[in-house]
Amino acid sequence: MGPAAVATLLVQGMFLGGLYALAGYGFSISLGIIREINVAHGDLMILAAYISLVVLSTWRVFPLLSLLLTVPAMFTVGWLLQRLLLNRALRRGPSHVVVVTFALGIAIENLLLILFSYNNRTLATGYLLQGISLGAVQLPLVMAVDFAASVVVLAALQLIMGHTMLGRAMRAVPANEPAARIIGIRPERIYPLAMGLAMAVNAVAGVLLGSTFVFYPSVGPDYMLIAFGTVILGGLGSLLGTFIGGLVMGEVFVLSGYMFGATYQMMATLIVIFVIMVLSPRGILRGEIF
Amino acid sequence: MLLALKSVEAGYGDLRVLRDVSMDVGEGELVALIGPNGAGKSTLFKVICGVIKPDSGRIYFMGRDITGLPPERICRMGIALVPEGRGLFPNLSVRDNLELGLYGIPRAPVKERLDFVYSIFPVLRERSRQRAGSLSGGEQQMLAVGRALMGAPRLLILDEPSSGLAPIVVDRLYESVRKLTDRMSIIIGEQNIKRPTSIAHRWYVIENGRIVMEGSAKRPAKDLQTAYFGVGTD
Ligand SMILES: Nc1ncnc2c1ncn2[C@@H]1O[C@H](COP(=O)(O)OP(=O)(O)OP(=O)(O)O)[C@@H](O)[C@H]1O
Ligand SMILES: [Mg+2]
Repeated sequence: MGPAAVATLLVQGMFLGGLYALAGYGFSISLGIIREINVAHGDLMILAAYISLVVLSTWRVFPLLSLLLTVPAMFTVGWLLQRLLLNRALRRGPSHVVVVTFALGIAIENLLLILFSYNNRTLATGYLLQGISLGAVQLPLVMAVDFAASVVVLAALQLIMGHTMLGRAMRAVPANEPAARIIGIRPERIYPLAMGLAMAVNAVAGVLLGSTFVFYPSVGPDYMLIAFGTVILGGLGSLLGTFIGGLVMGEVFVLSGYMFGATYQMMATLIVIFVIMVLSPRGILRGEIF
Repeated sequence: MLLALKSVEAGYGDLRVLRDVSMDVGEGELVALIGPNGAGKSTLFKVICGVIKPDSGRIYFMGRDITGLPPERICRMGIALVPEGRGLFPNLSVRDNLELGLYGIPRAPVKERLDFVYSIFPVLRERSRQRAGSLSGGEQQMLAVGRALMGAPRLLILDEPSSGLAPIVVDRLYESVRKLTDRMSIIIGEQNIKRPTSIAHRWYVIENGRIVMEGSAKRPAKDLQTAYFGVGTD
């Protein structure tokens, strides 16, 4: 195996990792800020891909332009979901959120099945699937777009978290909830905004993975597992950690696929997560951002 | 009167903590609230700030009835609480903690307020990029007071600011607080008598949720100590 082939694998892993991180950011936000496990995270991501599919079948535009509608739509879905359903569940305890979102995930899957059948879909057009070459490395353009989008979204989230009053409030609530209330922050108002933000990011993830791979109504839980992996690998409460966690998972996925075949990719990835969790139980970056 | 409490009763669920509490704070006045462990000081402060709703009685601030208003409204009207245990966000930077003191106050002059706080506690400027959790106990207390000052409150409430601090640090903190009285009214809640009463214009003693004694700077702390031997002095 020549150096060009190795480089191709590594870059492919990195780009895939960027997409995985994109799938993880929203999960990182709901877990780190709202402290709830959204089991329907992957299904909501796939929902965004289907919303984009509908948009693209109505207006035949460049796939990524559908984000202009999908992102605000998913922000609204996230806001309403938290405001109407999850805030109430949260008041009874975190395990109620797991039950409610588990049911929500099944409902979304079945709704998508009724509306779109179980056929494989993709948002990609010829242009996005064209190969590009970076030096000796040959890859489809869409994977480079995935990685670039992941970096841009990370930077935007860091900006919001670090330099806006809303971002400060989002980090303050999990850090010390009683104190947050005393200075006039209402967590029950912050949570829907955080969930809206998480789902807006999830829309980007859904549209990009729908442009990179095929999707079908029941594929959501696979991406939920990936999102979960990036977040616990990177460390709870650190978006940069989620990004790094995504890169690790992407590399392991691609390299293990090359070495042992596709059957063992997921297992290899889970083993690496397990090993890192044993060595550093709080993840690679020990959660400092939120 | 800036703040007036009229027969306030409050508690947690069925547990009634405050009973028939009435107290006043005038403009520019520094008032000490003295009481032993579990007397109800923190509960009273939480009631004033709207975190706990009183079961009965009324609270007036600047002549307006604020009973039952939510905390964010009361904050915006100009009451800032430095809670017991300081209430900082340890993983956020000193600067972020300070800026959060302006939460819900749109178009506040951020730079000006930061400069004001830094002028009172210069060490916070040096530490502005550091995590709040990495500060010393005294610096953390300064940060907590600084954050409350960011919103330029009319009434500043300090709940046991001296707890966990070395006496010399407490002296410096009290000196800074005393200087603030030309800008705002202040309530200090403490367990010990000597220090708060030495700078307060007036004081109240609370025991088992009732105001059992009150007096002014003219009634010396010694007098208070003899009456109030249930608690140690400092
Ligand atoms: N969250 C709560 N739930 C139930 N009871 C509480 C709660 N907080 C305080 N109490 C009770 O209310 C009473 C008054 O407590 P409070 O904290 O107001 O006293 P304090 O004067 O501030 O005491 P300390 O000097 O120890 O801070 C105590 O009996 C306490 O056990
Ligand atoms: Mg107390």
